[in-house]
Amino acid sequence: MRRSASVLILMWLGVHVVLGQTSPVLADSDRQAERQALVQSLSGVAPDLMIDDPDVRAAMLHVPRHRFVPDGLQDQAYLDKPVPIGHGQTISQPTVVALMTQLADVDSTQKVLEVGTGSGYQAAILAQLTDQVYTIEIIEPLAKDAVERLANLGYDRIRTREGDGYYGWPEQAPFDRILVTAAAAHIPPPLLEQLKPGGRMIIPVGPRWGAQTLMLVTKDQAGETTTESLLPVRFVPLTSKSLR
Amino acid sequence: MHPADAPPRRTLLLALGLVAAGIVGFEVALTRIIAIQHLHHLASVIIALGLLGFAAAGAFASLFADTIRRHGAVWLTVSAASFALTLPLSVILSGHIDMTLPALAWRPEELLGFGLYVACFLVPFFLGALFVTTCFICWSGHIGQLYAADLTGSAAGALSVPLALQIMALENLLIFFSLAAAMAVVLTRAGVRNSAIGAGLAGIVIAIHNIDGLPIQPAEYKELSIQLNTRDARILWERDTPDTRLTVLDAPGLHSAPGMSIASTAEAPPQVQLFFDGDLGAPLLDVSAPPPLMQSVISSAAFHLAPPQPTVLLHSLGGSWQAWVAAFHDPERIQASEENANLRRLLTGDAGPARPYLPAGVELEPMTARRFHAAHPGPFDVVMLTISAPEAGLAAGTVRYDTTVEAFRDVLADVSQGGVYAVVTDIKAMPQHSLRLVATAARALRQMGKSPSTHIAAIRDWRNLVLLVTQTSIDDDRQQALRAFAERWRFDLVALPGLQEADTNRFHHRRNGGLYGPFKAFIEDEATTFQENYAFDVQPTTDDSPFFDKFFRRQGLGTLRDTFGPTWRAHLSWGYLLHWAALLIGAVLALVAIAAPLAFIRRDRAPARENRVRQFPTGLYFSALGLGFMFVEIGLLQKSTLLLDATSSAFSTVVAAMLVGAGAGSYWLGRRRLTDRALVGWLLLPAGLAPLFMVLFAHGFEFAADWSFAARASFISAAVFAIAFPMGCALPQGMLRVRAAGASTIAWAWGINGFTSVIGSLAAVLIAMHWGFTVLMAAASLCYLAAALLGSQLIGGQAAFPGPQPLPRTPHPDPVRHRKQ
Repeated sequence: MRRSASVLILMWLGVHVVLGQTSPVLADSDRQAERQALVQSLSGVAPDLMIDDPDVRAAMLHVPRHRFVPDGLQDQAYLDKPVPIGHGQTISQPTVVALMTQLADVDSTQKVLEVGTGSGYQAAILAQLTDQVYTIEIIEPLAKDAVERLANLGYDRIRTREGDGYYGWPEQAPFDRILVTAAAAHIPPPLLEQLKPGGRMIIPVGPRWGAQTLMLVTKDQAGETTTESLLPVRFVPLTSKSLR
Repeated sequence: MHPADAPPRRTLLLALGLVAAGIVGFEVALTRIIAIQHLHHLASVIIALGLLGFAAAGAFASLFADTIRRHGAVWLTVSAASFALTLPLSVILSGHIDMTLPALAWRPEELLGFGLYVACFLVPFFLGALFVTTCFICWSGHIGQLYAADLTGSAAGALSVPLALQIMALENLLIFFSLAAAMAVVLTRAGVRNSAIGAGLAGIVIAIHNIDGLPIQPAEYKELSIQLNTRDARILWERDTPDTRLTVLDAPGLHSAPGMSIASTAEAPPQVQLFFDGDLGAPLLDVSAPPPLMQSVISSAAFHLAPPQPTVLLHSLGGSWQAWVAAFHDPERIQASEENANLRRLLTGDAGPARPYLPAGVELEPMTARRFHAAHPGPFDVVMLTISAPEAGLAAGTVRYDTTVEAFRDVLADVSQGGVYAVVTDIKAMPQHSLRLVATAARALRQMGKSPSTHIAAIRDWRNLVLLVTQTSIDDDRQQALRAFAERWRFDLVALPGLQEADTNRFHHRRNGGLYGPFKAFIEDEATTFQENYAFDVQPTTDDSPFFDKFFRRQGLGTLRDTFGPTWRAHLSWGYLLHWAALLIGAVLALVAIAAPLAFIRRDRAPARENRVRQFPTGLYFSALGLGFMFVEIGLLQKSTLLLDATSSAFSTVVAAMLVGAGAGSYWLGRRRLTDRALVGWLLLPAGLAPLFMVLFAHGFEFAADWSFAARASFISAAVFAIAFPMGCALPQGMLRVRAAGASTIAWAWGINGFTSVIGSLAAVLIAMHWGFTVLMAAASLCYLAAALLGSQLIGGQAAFPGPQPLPRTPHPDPVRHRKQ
């Protein structure tokens, strides 16, 4: 009886190993094919908000999103949806990341500040477009994880800081572009101050779990600021595992 | 176990009272639990749950009535012990159900989570109700005593929640209910075994308490949970109140400055934040003088339309933000209405971190905005109301009496000649609250004989809008003052006499021209054409249907799809859909828990032809009672909120009064069979009283507005008792008539009544949302009218009336149920 059970277990393990070895997912450990499929599927949210910047699409194709997602959720990395990364935060859905990056209109000479590092994925995308990426995270464990993750993936030029993004990064100001990944009740004046004349700031507005609208803040050469509410870009089901 | 005519021991009566208190107390406490964990109190769902628990217990007991009679002590012990345990366990379990309630509109799988969440609260209701039912089966000859104990306990449980929450945390209150049930185990039967079980249960419950194993905390998606994830975040003070849980949070990342201009260079002032049920973080400023940045806050616009040194009245104070805005403008006097005593103490420094968060001299009035204006005539130069605008119609089923047409009229009557009424709200991607506000203000002005186009202004930024309604026409000087303010701080004007479209949508660009067009449509006329083509229902609300957050409009779905493309579902007024989801789930659960067990009951012998003919009117009779009772209860509950300030207070008061009233009516009028004529007379009373109550409540509000809470609650209780008393006789009289047809007929009558009660409690809110309380009460009236007509045509009712009859000695667990219909 005991021997039969052992044989069954061994058979099961054998089948599992064989199937696992032939799995196309494991065969492509970098998940290039999944990433390509995702990027191809990204379109936009409206005729005038299409994801059509080739540089942005190339950046999305290059950054291994699954490496920014917690271990148990990597299968969700290449779905167009946000994924929980702990501490009530999510890695934004690819459409939002792509749109924010495209709206920021970053070129290689520009200095970019990201407020809300999260997993570090958005910063990694930005780092494909410019060498001057600065990112701040207020949630201590997320900040530490992001530093380690970015270093492991070779994003050495991204400057990270653990701190309150409301105050920006005055030592490195001004910035050509600022991306804020968490909505605020008002636009932080320190960030406006650290935005260069002619600069652009992108902020998602709305609840984290619901419809969010991207807002574009521009500062003209005279230093006057205006905002533009763009179309809603997403609806986010925060898949909380439990109440705290 | 006992002969039915053996009197129950006093200790058993006490046990029954304790369990009944635990059941109803838990029912009321659930409104708080759900509001804290998720986003709404779901009062009607909870009522349906309680009913479902009782009806399911009745149906279940009907299958085992003989066993229960033989082994009553065991059934009592097991049901009470299980109730004591499952009460806290259901709350613990509910906190582990993976559910994102706000995503219900676009993730159908959330419906499963919602169903599981609701179902886990059903278990304690079922077990508690099984205890009550068992008592009635085993001592059916002493219904009166049992009923008295049941009702006394139930009413005490209902009233205990708002009283207890003044002095203890919600978690502790649940522990008390659980301990009460453990005590009931001991009292149920004298002996070592029950004492040991009771002591063991008490030990477990106390252990749960001591290891902090019963945390009632906000879901991960709520704002407080998110803020608590930041470094060094800590809760400075937390207090449960009957209406809300107040939490003061300190964290380094708190920088709220609602409505601050993008042209302002000042940083948000130092602050902690105040959360209401884990949401709506409102700033509590740590300052000693009004910060200069207040001049750049959008709500300052109100002071540019008011005379210098204005008298100010603030409503829905929330945190202290608007009080500091007002203080900046050198007011002669600031008053604020705030009905929550704990919040008043917090804001004045008498509780919590022990520092005043309000500017010196702010006078707090302990009442709601509506009651304040009914009790204290103005005039005030600036009246300001800040309303939160929950996402996606979150609070669709919540009554809101401070934004109705009547409320606007009341406030405007108290605004001085040069004064202004300002309402501050948020703007959504597709505006809802702001449009309903201007529609309501315009209608109120028209009813007062004033032209909206000369009395309404509005100003906005990218997120906030301030609607400004003046007592007199906005003259050139005031127009210029407002224009200058908007220009200086880069705000966009939305409405102002003489405003052209080119002057709008300049600093905060919105697509489709911003809000100028829709506002113009509502100000110039009732905007019928606009409304017909708009995605949301933004028509004014009235006291008869004060569902300010109900924006859903079926005809608008196409517009939503066209506007938002693939994300259109996220913009649905899902709070409204939640009520439909609850109705669907409730119907399924009621079928499973009530009707399915009855299918296993052995059918009575083949009914006589005459009885077969009477099956339909019998079914209708018990359906009408189930629907009618719940229409009245929900209608009175929602309407009483106007006078009792909050849903939770109204819930406790109305439920307690309904229990006592219907119970007393059931006891006094249900003991013996009434003549058909007498039954018709008693049933016509609620049929006539239900519509009259709407008139009574409207006029009662005017003269009772400044009464103490006890006096107002007594007034409501007396009114509810008056209508509930005759309603209470309907079910037992029906049961007395159908009992001749056999046990299964009684069981089916019971099941039909239970099923329609569940449906009625959930449908009542939908009816009130769509057609108003007048229609809801008219429907209730029709139900009782139908019952009056059908009462003489029930199965078994044709038997020659032999004169007064006692209640059946060994009834189905029916006629004396906890809440009578």
